[in-house]
Amino acid sequence: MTKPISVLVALVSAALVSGALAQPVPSASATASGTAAAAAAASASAGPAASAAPDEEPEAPPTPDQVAPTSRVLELRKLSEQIAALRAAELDTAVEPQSLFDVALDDEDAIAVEVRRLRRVLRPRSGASHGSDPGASPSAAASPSASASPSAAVSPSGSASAQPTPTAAPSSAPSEAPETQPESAPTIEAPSPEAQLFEARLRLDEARLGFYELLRADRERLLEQHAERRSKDTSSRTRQDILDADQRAQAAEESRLRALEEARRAQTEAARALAEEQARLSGVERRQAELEAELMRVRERLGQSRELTLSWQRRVREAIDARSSGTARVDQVDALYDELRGVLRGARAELDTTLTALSSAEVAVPSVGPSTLGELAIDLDTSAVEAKRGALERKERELVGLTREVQRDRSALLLDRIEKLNAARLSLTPWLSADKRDAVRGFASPGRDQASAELWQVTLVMRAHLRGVRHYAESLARSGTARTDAALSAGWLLLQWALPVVLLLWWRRRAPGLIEAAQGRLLEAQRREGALRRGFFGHSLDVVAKVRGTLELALLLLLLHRLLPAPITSLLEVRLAFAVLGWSVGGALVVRLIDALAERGSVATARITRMQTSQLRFASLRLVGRAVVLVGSVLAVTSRVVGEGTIYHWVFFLCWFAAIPLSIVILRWWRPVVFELASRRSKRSELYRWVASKRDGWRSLAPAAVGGLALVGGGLVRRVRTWSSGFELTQRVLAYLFRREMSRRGAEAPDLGLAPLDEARRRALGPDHPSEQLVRSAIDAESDALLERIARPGGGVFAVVGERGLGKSTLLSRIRAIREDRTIVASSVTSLDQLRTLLIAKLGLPSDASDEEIARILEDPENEHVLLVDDAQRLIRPTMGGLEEFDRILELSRRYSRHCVWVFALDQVVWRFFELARGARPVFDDVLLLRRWPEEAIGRLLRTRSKEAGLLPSFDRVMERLPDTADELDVEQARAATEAAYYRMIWDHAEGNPGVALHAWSDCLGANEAGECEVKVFRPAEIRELECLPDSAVFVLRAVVRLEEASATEIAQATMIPVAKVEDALRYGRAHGFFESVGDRHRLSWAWFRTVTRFLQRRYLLQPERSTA
Amino acid sequence: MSYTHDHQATRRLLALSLSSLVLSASSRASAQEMPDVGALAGFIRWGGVALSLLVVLAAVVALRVVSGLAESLGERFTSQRLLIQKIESITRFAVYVVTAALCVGLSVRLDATALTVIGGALAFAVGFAMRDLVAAFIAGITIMFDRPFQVGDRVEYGGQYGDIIKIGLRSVQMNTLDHNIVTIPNNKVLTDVTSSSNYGELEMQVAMTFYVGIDQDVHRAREIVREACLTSGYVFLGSEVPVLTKQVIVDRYLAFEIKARPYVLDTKYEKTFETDVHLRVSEGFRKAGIQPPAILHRYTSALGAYDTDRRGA
Repeated sequence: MTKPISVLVALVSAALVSGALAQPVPSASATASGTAAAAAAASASAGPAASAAPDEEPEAPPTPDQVAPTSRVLELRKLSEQIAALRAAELDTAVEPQSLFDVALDDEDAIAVEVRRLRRVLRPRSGASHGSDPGASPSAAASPSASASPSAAVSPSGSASAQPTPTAAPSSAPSEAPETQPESAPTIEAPSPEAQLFEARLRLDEARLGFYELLRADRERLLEQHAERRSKDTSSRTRQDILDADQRAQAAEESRLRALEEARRAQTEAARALAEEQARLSGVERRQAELEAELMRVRERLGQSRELTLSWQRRVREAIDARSSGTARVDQVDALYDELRGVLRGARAELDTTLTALSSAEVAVPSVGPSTLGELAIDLDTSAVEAKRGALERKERELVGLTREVQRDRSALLLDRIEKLNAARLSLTPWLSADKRDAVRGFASPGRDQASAELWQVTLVMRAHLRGVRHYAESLARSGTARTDAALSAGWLLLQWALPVVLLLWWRRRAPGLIEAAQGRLLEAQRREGALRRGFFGHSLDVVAKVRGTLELALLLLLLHRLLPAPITSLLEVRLAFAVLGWSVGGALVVRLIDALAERGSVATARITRMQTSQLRFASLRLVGRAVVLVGSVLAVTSRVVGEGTIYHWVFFLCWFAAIPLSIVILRWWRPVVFELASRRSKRSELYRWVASKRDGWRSLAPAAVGGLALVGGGLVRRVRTWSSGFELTQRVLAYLFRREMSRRGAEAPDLGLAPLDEARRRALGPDHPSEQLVRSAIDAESDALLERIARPGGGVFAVVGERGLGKSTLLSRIRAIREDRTIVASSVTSLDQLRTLLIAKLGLPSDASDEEIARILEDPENEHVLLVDDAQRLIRPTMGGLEEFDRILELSRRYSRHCVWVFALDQVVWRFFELARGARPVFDDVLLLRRWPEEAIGRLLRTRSKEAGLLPSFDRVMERLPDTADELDVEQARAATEAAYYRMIWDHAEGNPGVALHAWSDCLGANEAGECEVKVFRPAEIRELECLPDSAVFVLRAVVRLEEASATEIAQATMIPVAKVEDALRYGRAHGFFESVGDRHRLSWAWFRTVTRFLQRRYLLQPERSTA
Repeated sequence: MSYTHDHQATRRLLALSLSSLVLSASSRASAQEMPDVGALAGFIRWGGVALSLLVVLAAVVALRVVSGLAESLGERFTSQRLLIQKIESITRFAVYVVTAALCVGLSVRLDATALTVIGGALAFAVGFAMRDLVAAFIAGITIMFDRPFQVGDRVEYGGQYGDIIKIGLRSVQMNTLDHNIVTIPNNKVLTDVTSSSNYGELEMQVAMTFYVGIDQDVHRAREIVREACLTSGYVFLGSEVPVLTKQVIVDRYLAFEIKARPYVLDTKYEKTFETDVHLRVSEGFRKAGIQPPAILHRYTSALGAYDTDRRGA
């Protein structure tokens, strides 16, 4: 903890080394194999190829400048012996067990991988040594330490030819592996150095594998035993060192006394001065020895003091257990808490002292001081004194270092202790009595005391960490190797970080263009679909474009944090830095996000108030965001340094009070906007009137707050309403409510004084009147695709299917516009003969022209024709033999459609019958099913057609009554709302059918005395009138719907109802306006079309469309 | 019909309430002993009994309203008729249960002793008097959830064929095609085999079989049958109309059987649909000269000669 950067350096160095896995490492002990994965990788890379090319391996040809094979062998053997000693709990305590192995002993995954690797490597050897083929190939023997050292993959003989193989070589080493000696002795009398080395490596791998294969518990037990022995050993060594130091002090004292005695006996002044100098130096030596002994004792006590921390942790645990089980009283816990606080305070004081001592430049080490002999001209031999002086000066420097070291150890130990004890204290807090807990967390004296103690701890922790950083810097300054390691590590980390940074820079350059292109594509799609509102993706893209910068920063931060090794991210400094950064960037992101989401609402506000509120909103959000980030950062830092103690609770409690000044500031900023909006709404609401009347003076803050809340609440309600109005169900509910309201108003105030529109204007609005302006609908994308297909060269047979009034004829007119001069429209033909006659007339052929002659013109590749058959449903009769005419025309179209385009417009009602009778797909190349229009499209259609007809309808007659105080803006808003609701009601009545909607709209308009167009109460045909019809009349109604236009005879044929009954039903229908006559034929009137279809659907006599808008 | 249903409902509610009262008046006797009626007086709230009668009255009114509403809505919204009837059945069931619970709750002081007594009395009553009623009641609940059929389904049971018009506490009522009301105990329905033709849907498949002589143009006949089905005003166009043909022997004559399986759009038009299609087919066969199987078609024994003749002609 106190050496964060050193840990960083070590970790990054490890990463560097493990990153350079392919680098050969000369030692078989494999210090470079940082991870098992690396080992596996290296093992995988070493194989027969490596054996076959031994000269590529660094160690294969032993050379004098390399490590001598003998010493290497000894070294490897020693490692094997040490592992064996570890397993026997006899390993020298000076040896660190980890140094004997390749992989981290606390990493089970790495050990598992290493075990698999070693087993694979050693399997050939065991097979060979026990087996039948002593002369197995070197490659089969593989290299025992391939992972640790690729060089080991080489055969010891350095060749893969007839040289002694590794498996054979050990047989000549009697002390090493007698059991592996083959029966037939090798031709070589003594093992070569390579063979010995190879065998030693095998032994080492076997020893390691043996240790790895132990159960985890056994391994841990062995390591614990070693640590315990080591601890004991260290303790005894320390005691021995103390004893030695005491003895040296005693000897120095004796020496000093002897020197003083010699000085007293000296016969010359020079001799006396020399003896006195000798005595003084002995005195310094004694004091140095005493200081050394003292430092040793301190160090010994440090080791023992760990026990103190552990014992306190145990006591706290036991107290919590006892309290939770009810066996301890709450006052006992309180007492333990107080006692623990006392210990904690002592530890803090001790750490304070230690840190102060560490910070001071001087270290209280007995100094040798200046020589007293320097000014004297002495002829005596002073070499002994000078030698002693030199030794003491060296000792002085040693003691300075030792003192600093002990101080640092003590500082680390104390820091660890106060953190652990503080954590124990916090864990005890919930179990305290309520009074005690409140006192500790409150603002009274105990709380203040606790807060100051926590603050003190924060200071101490920071000082200790700063001290650690400084020490690391000093160590870097002293050691060149450390500097190199640090530079390498930092470079590697920067290299890793460079990738996301470069990616970010690349993205930042391209993001605006990409987002703009995506927005453009979405807009284009929206335009194609005829949608008025932006979709979810469009809004999301807008928001992303606005928060992009902060979002990128947050992602980069997250990525950089993820790239840091786990031990580094657990460092306090790193955690604190990322906590503060996280709060700052996260806060900024949230502020930007809210601002972007709220921006749409501000458009309406700005339109009303003529005030630019976006900057105000952003400033307010930023202010609140900064306050939240500040509080959050403080909470995060305090909780990480001293836990969730008194300071944490203070900050958490007090932060709510910060809302008061923040609110005041924000209110002051927004006050003009609030008053402006309130004054505009003051005529509608008492509340807003009151708010608007209190706009002066400091007292205006409260009304501004109330008005602001009311406005925000109203805005939220409007948002929810707008959002929900996008759903068809909501639209229908709203339409129903408006229709009820209309009925009520109609009953209260009938349409007096309104005359029907004149016939010309009614016709201009009617569904059968062609429009000059195309209104886009939901089906436009598919329509465009069909138009594009028809515009391409080549013929085809297509069908356009839709309910009456859904726009089939309009689409045919668009098709006609493609090849105006070569398009023939056959409307309402009822037989092939009629069609043939029509074609002959249009094509200018003699009246007795044959089909082939007609086809020759239609199929002319140079002049491709388009034949549009509108109202093709009249060719289909749902009667026996009713498909014959259509079949004949289809046969003709199939025969002559290589260069001629045939388009049939069919009613939805007969389509299903046709589908079942003939099947649609094999007959037509493509079928376009027209869908019902959405509410927005119907609204646009009605506005457009009214404009085309030169009508500017007034909604005043159907508007809700406004208060007398309403101004123009209120009237304008009410008018807009009524208009939208009215169009929605018509859309609902028409169920998305534009033809029905247009007819209903023309019915809704009237002219007042001044000749102005006014909208009156909508009175649709009542379904009630149909419900009383007998079944026979209902079936006649249904037959008329299915036949679209039929005579009484045709209806009788279709329904099997007697003609007389049919005629009765038709007469009744005409009288009530259900039907309109076209010669001797009948068709549904537009006024009753939707009511009849809805009635038939309710009676299950007509299946609703399967797909609606 | 509606009056009869309401009357039955009233009787059923009264019976249920009286049963509750009788149960509450039972003694703390065991199932094997007759209850000590006198000892039970202490558990009864006489004021609550009077109130229970009001509750029963309110329930009867509620049931009438629900039935009337369902009938009216079912006629107006034919497409949702089965759903409306289903909701009506569940509502009626809920009214029964709530009324019974209210009557017991109002009439009896429910404490541990009372529950023990009622439990004993219930065991007695169930064991000796109301076993069938309780069995039918539980079967009714099972029918509600297991749904072998639903109200409005066209069902065949025990040789009877008709529409299920009510699933009650004790029995299921069926209206046969000749307008006989058949009452079937719920527990019988659960144990016997029932066949539902439409199973909760308004449309229903109606199989119709036609026979033509073996020497007739069966392809044309098949087309006529299909066309007759599709052009009928009662056909449901949401489903395909399969028309299958096979050679059979009908009354010793070799013939082609043409079986159509169209769906009628409402079960109530089943027979009308059949009639309509048969008339159309008959007319179509007549126009096409397609004859039924008969002894006069002597070519059946010499099909090859007939074919040769036809080709020659």
